Amino acid sequence: MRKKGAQGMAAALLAVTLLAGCSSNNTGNNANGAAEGNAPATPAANASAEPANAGTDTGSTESWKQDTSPFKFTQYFYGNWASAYLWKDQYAMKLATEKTGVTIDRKLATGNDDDYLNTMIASGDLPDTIMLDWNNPAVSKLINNGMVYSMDELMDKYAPELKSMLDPDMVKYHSVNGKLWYLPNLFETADRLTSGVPITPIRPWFFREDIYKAIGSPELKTTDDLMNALKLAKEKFPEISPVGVENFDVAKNSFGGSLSMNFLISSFSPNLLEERIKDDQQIVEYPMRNKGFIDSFRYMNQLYRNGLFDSQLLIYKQEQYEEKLYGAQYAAASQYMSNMYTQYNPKIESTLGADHKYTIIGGLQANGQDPRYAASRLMGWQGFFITKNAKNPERIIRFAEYAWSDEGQLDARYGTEGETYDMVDGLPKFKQEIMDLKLKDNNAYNAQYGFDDSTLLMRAGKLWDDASARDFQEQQPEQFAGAKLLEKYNFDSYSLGMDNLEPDGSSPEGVINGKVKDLWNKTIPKLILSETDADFDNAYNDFISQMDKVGAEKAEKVMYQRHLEDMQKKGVQ
Amino acid sequence: MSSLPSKRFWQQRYLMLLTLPAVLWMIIFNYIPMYGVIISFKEYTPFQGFLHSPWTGLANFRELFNDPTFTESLANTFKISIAKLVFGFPAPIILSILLNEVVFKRFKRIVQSLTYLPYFVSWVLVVGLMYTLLDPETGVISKMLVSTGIIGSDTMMMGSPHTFLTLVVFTEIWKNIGWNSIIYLAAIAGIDPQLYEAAIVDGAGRFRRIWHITLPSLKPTIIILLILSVGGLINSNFDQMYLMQNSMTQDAANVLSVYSYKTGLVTGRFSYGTAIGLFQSIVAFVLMYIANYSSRKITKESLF
Repeated sequence: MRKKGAQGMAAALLAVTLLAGCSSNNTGNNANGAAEGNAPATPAANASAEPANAGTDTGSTESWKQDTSPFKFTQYFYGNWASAYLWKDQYAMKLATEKTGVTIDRKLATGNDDDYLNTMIASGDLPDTIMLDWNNPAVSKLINNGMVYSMDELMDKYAPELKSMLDPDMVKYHSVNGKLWYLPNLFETADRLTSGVPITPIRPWFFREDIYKAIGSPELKTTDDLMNALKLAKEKFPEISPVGVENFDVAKNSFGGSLSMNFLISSFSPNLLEERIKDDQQIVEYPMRNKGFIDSFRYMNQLYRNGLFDSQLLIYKQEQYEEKLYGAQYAAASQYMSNMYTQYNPKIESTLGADHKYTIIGGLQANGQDPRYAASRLMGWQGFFITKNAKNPERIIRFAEYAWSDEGQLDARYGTEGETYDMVDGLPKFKQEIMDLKLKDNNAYNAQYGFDDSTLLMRAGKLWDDASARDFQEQQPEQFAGAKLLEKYNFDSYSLGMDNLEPDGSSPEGVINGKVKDLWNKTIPKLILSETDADFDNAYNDFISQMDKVGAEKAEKVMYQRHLEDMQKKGVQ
Repeated sequence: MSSLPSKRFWQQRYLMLLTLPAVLWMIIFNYIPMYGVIISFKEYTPFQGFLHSPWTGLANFRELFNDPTFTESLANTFKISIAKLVFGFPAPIILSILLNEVVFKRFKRIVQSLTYLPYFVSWVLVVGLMYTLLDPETGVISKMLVSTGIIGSDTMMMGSPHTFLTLVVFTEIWKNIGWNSIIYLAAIAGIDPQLYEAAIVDGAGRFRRIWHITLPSLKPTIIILLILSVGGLINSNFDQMYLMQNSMTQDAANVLSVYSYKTGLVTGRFSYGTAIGLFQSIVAFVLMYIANYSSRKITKESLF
């Protein structure tokens, strides 16, 4: 098998090389003209933008304008789901190319992302740039193996303007060994919790409207209320699956197993994050040691034993779940907030009728306590890495400067003033037909315009954050109301210092952490499908003793150190 | 004397030329990559490369034997392979003998073609089909099994460690039986018809002829293929296992090749993954050697 693996690896690499080889010529002829033509819009936008960017001058010093001849670089995007991000001829992509001459040849993994990434790292055959979650274990490999340029080095040499645009807090938080090795996107500023679109840090649960009405619209205030409502739903609609949750995979979705679990975990263990920190023992506990956390799995087990949870969900792939959700085949289902309102509900309304749509369930109390949702400003999503394999790092860092600038942000988010958006009260606003397309047929909107999908170097900025908050409230009142309903349970978890705790994958503790996750992944189905309380307890106790045996405590000690570091980096010691 | 081998070589030069691509293929894909196994004795980092990564001696192997997941995957591998050997090995022999006894030639050809076909369907499709056909709510095969009372109405065939082994062996046989029977059919075709004619004259019936002529003539082929299969005991089918693994069956489906892939490529512990692979190769070699040796002693037939 090892041999077969090596062959597969070779074949994959060959494919990558071949793909990298074929590059089509792009039109960059009018790039200069377009850039000049658009320049006047920029200072205006700048004036109302955030003060951190005061250093951005008008025009001439921008390094990316020095060379706008056609140029193409390759990029691997970590996330094989992201076909919408591939550069075809979407509006936002064409706009970036017209202005800068740059085209991104973006590629996705054909199978498992970690497999694909590690194969590239092991063989040293990296693309020019990589977009990778900044807290992925492979990040330290890229940096420690000297496979990527430091941003400082490139910025000092080629794009000094970019350096002055960066948020100092971000630079402080993301620097490793005193240098910035990647540009993190979606790093949010301190005012995030009070401005912009309301944060919904969990995947909410929804009830199908007609079923909810048919069982008499009972009050859903506690987890027990939900259980009873589901029982009623099953009686009245025996052909419907009572509960739908997203797929279970600890490696991907962290300790909750399924992203849908966080809703329950926040109810059963509202103080989970604080409780995990044990200063006296100098450890940050694994959540699996927390009673409330386990109670949420006990609740799932209750659902199963009451015939309300279909065990198929444990083996479903994401697509299978989505298919059933499009068919509104669950009485209650969990889904990412915005997807429910912009994809599922519109589709359900047009195919099955408006009464089959899903309506949000508010926060649920358990054991008499209100839930608490750990909301924090995002410390970033993905890092933009420039690898040592890059043939022209100079052009790439200058392109990053464009993307990071207010002009680049507006281009990527809103397009061209007068054509795709207008300025209304000092804030950009999409033309109505584009807004309608975005809300009613998101896939078509992405395929045609590709806004937010082009450079992917999104950063915080008052201008567009305010604009999106206004649009959200105006255009999606239903989702806005839903978000407000849950927002009251949010608390700011930023200062707890609980971000990016898991030990570095290549360290001995990282190996232990991997084993713990693997064990937990195997335990979840056993817990949920237990036939008796005793079975449940046995499976759980087995897991705890196995976890201790592989050395969980060592990883918990490292997590405590990383917790201290996180606080220090955030300046909340 | 000394010129003899070279003369023979010259006489066979065109045959040699024909084998050249295969030999080159072996060297490029099987021998050159072999130097990569040295990383199982190192702590490989891509930055330092194959040659300069630090040596760690047998540390990876020591960890291997203390790793409960490894032991579990080793046990799974043997369990699955032995089940496949016991049920899967005789199946094509039986099929080819049955086919040989079919008088109606057209029927024989149709059956032969139909049994080959699944071999050309990739595992991805096979497992995809299984998920659909065995879905407890909508699957056709599930429905049939339920209505005949073989399984209960809520049995989740693809999501149960209990049905896993059965499914693995059954699909493996279904997929490969036709293809594997080709070699036996060819061997049967090579049996001298006079033997059968003489047996008929002596009054031997069908079963007597199969027992005394067909099977003994097949013996060398069977032995060689058996030796090869024993060597493969430690290699379970990666594609099949990887695809059939889900959160419910992961304990049962965790075999060495899957474990090696997961640690080596998914979590990026290249050296440890290679150590698992190397262990697997050595065991395979030892097993094959033992099988070959015992066969030479017992039946006088052997591969080398």
